[in-house]
This record gives sequence, structure tokens and C-alpha cells, in this order.
Amino acid sequence: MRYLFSAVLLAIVSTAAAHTPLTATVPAAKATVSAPVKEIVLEFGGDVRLTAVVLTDAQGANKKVAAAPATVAKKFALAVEEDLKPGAYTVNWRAVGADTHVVSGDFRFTVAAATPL
Amino acid sequence: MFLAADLAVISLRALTFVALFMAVGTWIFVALWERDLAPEQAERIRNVARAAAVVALIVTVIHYVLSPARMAGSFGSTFDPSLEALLLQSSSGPASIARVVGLALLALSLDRATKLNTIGAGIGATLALASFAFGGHTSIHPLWFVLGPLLLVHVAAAAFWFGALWPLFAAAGEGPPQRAGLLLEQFTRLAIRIVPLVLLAGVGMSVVFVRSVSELATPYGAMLIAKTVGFGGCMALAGVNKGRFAPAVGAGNERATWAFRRIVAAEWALIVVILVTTAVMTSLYAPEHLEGAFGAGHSAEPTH
Repeated sequence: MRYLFSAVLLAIVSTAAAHTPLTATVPAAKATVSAPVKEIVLEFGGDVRLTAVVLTDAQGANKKVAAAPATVAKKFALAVEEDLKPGAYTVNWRAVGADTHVVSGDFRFTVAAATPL
Repeated sequence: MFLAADLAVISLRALTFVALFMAVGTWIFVALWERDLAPEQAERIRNVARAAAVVALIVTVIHYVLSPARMAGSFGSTFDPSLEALLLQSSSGPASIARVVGLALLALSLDRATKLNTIGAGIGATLALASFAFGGHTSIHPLWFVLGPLLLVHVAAAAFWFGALWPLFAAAGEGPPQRAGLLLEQFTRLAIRIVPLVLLAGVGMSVVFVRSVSELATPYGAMLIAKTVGFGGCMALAGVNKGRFAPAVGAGNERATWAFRRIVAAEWALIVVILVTTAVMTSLYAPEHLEGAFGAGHSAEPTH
């Protein structure tokens, strides 16, 4: 029962519906990229304040990403401050709209192993 | 990710809703029927309203302080000056100020029944209820001038109902049955006019917020349906009490009084569930078509 309750709470809280949706990202969601990932780009349907971006690898370890700027904009580019080894990564993001309604979500991408020349 | 801050802030919001509705509604009850209550009953009801107002006030302040944590998904951002400034400059700023001032005025005006206190409590209760319309989805909607009054009617009627339940529960179990019967009769006479306003105003707002049937299939729409079903359940319980048990309470029937009080308690619990659902719904979800981006007037500096 306790697990069921926790699962329901988790499901509710982890799916904050978008006021101002995320429209595009770089790397794209579910993409497999071969070039080094130097920045994470998030583009929204309107001006928002991006408040958090957390990049984690497949083991759940955090990777350093530049802090979100304290400004309102439609598009944000945050530098990835460490090299990403081949593997799967998840970007969790959170933003705030004009009425301070919080929108959040996540997307995944994969860094492919470099092929020897 | 971000779960702890979400749970803490949304729980505080839900608690604010319950305490605020209890404070305002219980005050409305005592203001309307003070003369029909025994002095010690009126005093006890006023104390409950004041305690609820104090709880709502404290929780509102804690909720406001922790809001930046939820905005960034981390308690480490609680005192982030830029998020605090954003919060204060948004519609949440004036809404929270109105709520705090209203609840403080209400709490301070509930120590004893005087004309001045009644006026003070009335202004406080109005401010506390109006705070719902000052912030959130209503405040940024292009039809805010339609939604604002509808929301005010919706929350005022809901507070009237919710706040009356505990006093009715208490009144039915003590004192002469004739007095309880008279009180129930008077309350019912007013309630059948006021309580339907909860549904009418709610439907009016839903027509503005949810523009198509397909939007009812979204999480926002589903929670709206859940609230409506909950309201229907409350109405059914109230109908059973009105038709079957309330007249027998006035006649001093102990079994009927027992049943009446249990049903009132069930109504109270169901309304708490509806209020918590509302807090979750308005925190996590938004109407599909509602544009929540910052307007042109906001400084949108390039980030790169």
C-alpha cells in the first residue's frame, strides 16, 4: 500500500504539464550524437525563466552544466563543463512562467562511442 | 528529480487552502448565526476560526518563503534573490500579500463580537478569498475580468459550506435539540441558495479554461472532472442529511443525530479531498491553451 501511494505521488509530481512547452532541444530528445556535446540548448514556446538543468549519466551521476541564467528568454544554451563519455544521458529541466507556474520535464540522448579512423 | 521540493510546497499549498477555507467559512457561520448560538458555542466557533486563520497565515508565509525552492526544484534555491524577485513581481506577490493581510485581519478581529471586529473580519475574509483571483491562472488569462468574479463567488460559496460543517457537527450534539433544529433549518434555507453557486461559478470558469471536450482528457481536465464528482458526492450527502436526518435532529432523535453528525464529518472530509485536489491540480497542471509565457513588458535579456 505504501509503495502504491509513493508510486502515485511520484507519477503525479513528475509530470508537471506545460504552460509554455519545451519545443526543441540540442541534442534532440532520443538522439544519438557522435560529436562531443559542448552545450545543452533548450527552446520554449514563449519566454520563461529557466531555473534548473540537471544532466545525469546512466548511473545517475551528475555532470557539470553551467548554471541557468537569471533572465527570461525563449532559448537557453548552457555549457557542458565536463567531457561526456559514450553512454546514455538524461537532462532534467525546470522553468517558470509568468504566473510562477512551474513547468518541468526531461529528455534523453546518447553519446555514441567514437569510431576509429 | 525535484520531488522533495514539489511535495513540500504543494502540501503547504493544500494545507493553506484547507485552513483558509475553514477560517473564512467558520467566521461566516458565526457572523450569520451568532444570536442563535449559546454564548459558549459562539465563543468556541470563533476560537476555531481564529486558530484556522493563524494556521493559514503561518502556512501561507512558509509556502511563500519556500516557493523559490519549488521553482528551481531544490531547497538550496530557497533564498535565491533572483527567484524571490521574480516571485514578488509576479501575480503571486500581490496575491500572497493580500492573503497574509486578510488572514491577519481575520485572526485579530475574532477575539470577541463587536461591530468593529465584524467589519475588520469581513474585510479580512474578503481579502483572503480575493487572493485566489489575484494570482495563478486566473490572473494571466485574457478573460481575467470574467474569471476573477466567478472565482470569488466559487471560493466564497465553498467557504460558506465548508466552514459551516464543524459548527453544525458541534451544534447537533449539544444543547437543546430544538435550538440545533432551528439552526439547521436556517442554515439549510440559505445553503440551498448559496451552495449551487459553487457549481455554477465552477462550470462558468471551466467553460473559459477548458474550451473543448478533448481537453477534458488532459490531466487538468481529469482533475476538474474528479472535483465535480466530489462535489456531486458532497451534494448527495447533504441531500440525505437535509431530507432524512436534519428534521429528526430537531426532534431530539439520538440515532438520527448520530447519523447526521457522521454524514457532516464525511462531507467535511470529502471537501478536504477536493481542496487538496485543487491545490495539486493548480500547482502541476494548467489549461491546455493558456499561454504562460512572460509578456512583452518583462525584460527578456538574451542569454547567449
